[in-house]
Amino acid sequence: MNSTMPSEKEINTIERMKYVEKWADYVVTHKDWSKLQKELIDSQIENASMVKLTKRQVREIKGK
Amino acid sequence: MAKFRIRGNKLKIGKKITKLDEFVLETAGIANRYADYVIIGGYVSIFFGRARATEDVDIFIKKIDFGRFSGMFDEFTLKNFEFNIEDKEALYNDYLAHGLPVNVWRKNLPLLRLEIKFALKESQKKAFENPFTAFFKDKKLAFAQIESQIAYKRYILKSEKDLEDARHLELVFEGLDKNLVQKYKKEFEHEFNNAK
Repeated sequence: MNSTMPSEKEINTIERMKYVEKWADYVVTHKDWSKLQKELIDSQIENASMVKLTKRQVREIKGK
Repeated sequence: MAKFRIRGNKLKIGKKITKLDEFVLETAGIANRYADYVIIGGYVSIFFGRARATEDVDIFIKKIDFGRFSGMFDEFTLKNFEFNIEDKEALYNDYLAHGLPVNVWRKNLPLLRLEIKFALKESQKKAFENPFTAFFKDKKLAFAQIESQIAYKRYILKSEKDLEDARHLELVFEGLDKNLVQKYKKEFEHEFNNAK
């Protein structure tokens, strides 16, 4: 295997950054970015709130 | 649409208020009755459009005495929030006074957390030098300077998520001062290296 080839992790990082840049461009060029972002964030929070973690479990997950 | 621009430490933004924003408005609002605050960290990028959520929102507050913190603690508790530790003296003396954060969340729902930290280090105090206020609908929140957030995420934290947050901020804001980013970088690195 060619050692100069980017690893899967590096490719993933590059692709993720491309996506971040595309979305940032969307934010500055479209009025509905906030509506879409709200749908994403609210649904994530709603889903997560269905899993009722205890204070202790959160501490364990966070390592705090 | 256009990029965000801060004018005279103010910025108006038309945005839908998310459940995360609601949490921040409520908790930062309580904290602000007892101390000056600025929002730092990932929520800055999220507030300005990043396509991700977060569980924790970080704020610096200016150092306050125990009496004021006690008032803040009591108001949070009264409004059905809880802290990571129930003993407010321990929170103040063992955490805040030592530069460690305290966490507060809705009682029995530790899903979204506000992480409150005293700004004790020089770099942290600088977050209060030139903050800006974002106005949206009839609400407002105070944020640390965007250039400082880009520098901290890109040059100190450097995780994939932090690098992405920094890039997002760089792309959605106009009028950012690249020299200021470098100035913050040097200050953060200096402090970070001295702390090692």
